[in-house]
Amino acid sequence: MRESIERIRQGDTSGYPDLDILEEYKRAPLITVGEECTQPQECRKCLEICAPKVFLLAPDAKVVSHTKYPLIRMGWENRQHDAMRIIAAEPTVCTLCMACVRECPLHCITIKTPPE
Amino acid sequence: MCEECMNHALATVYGEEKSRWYFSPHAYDHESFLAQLDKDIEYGSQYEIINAINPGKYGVEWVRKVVQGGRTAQVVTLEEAIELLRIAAETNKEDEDFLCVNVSCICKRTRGGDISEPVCMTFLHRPKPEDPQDREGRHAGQRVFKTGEQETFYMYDAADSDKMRELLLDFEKRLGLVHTVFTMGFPYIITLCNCEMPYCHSMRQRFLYGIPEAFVEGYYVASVSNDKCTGCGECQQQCQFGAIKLDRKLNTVTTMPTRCMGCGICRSVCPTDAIEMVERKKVTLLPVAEPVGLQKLRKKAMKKEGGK
Repeated sequence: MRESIERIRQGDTSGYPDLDILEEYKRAPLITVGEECTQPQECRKCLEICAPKVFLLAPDAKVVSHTKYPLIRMGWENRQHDAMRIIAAEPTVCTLCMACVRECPLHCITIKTPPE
Repeated sequence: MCEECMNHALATVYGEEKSRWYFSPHAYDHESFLAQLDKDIEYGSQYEIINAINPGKYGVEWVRKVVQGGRTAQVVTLEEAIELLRIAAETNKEDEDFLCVNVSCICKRTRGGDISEPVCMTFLHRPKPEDPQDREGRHAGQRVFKTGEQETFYMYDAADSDKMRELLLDFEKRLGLVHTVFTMGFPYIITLCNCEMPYCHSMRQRFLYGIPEAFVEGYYVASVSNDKCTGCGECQQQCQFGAIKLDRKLNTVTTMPTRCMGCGICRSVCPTDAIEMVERKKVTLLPVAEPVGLQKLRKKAMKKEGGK
């Protein structure tokens, strides 16, 4: 985690959620939401069907640094303010029920089981 | 805010005078809150805040750090909630720009769930033209609470205790929501939330990721009198924390104080009034939980005294 924060601080914000760095995500299922999903705020189907609430409606923004105090300084540069997207934020709580895959009207969610 | 003010913040609940940190007028001092906000934190929209405190992004350790820094929640009972709403309104009585607004739950907006009903009781500040602005021309108050979406909200009079009781009882009985105070930078309370698993971020942090400081239990626990209980099981269905065990043979329920968060939903749904809220330290040997920020303030005060 420290590495990723350092990297982000230095301005390298590629690969927005740096989940592969975290140990607990190596054993979690790999959930991806495709580029086809363009109107998540109107649809919300995957958000509502998921029982453990894996998905999160997120602004299309990047964290650039954090202050000494609690919260995080958000990056205002290079982003469209109202752009939103769905991210699979907490794959560790996924129960592999595949409800989101069936429910998605655009068929853009894929789930792969974690490597043994 | 000093430690002294916190310990002597008194209000009358259940006919007794109690000292709680959230009864302190300092916790609702909106001017200081906004001053701190501009000094220490540059907020994004609500969505950005919620995303930043989500364990999925940088892991559990990151969230623990944020929580230690002062982003906490504590459960309050119905009576305490009414009292603290009154205190908030009274503290900011002279400030015409202070608003009490019900908005729809941001946690539910980001995670799914019903967003048609405004259940989050927020204290916010009507922005002035001379207030500092961010790059997009939004003022501090707007920055925190504006989501850029059409949403249902209404303003309420927090000092009107009868109306607040009606509203909060409706949330408890019909929707089964838990009242919690949320701080953003201890001790400034920004909302009285009405929360629910599995949507609430603070609850998730405690129950799914094992960060107990994120969602602190209240000062009360539920206690059942077996004479009145008929064993209908209504309270067991409503409890979000699994703190109630129903014995179908004996037709009684028992509560588990270690799991009980002290929200009092079971009491309001009980048809025979068999449940009452009692103070945690009076009936159990459990340590009284307190937000991390309060403990830090205590330590600071102790150090000062020692230095003298």
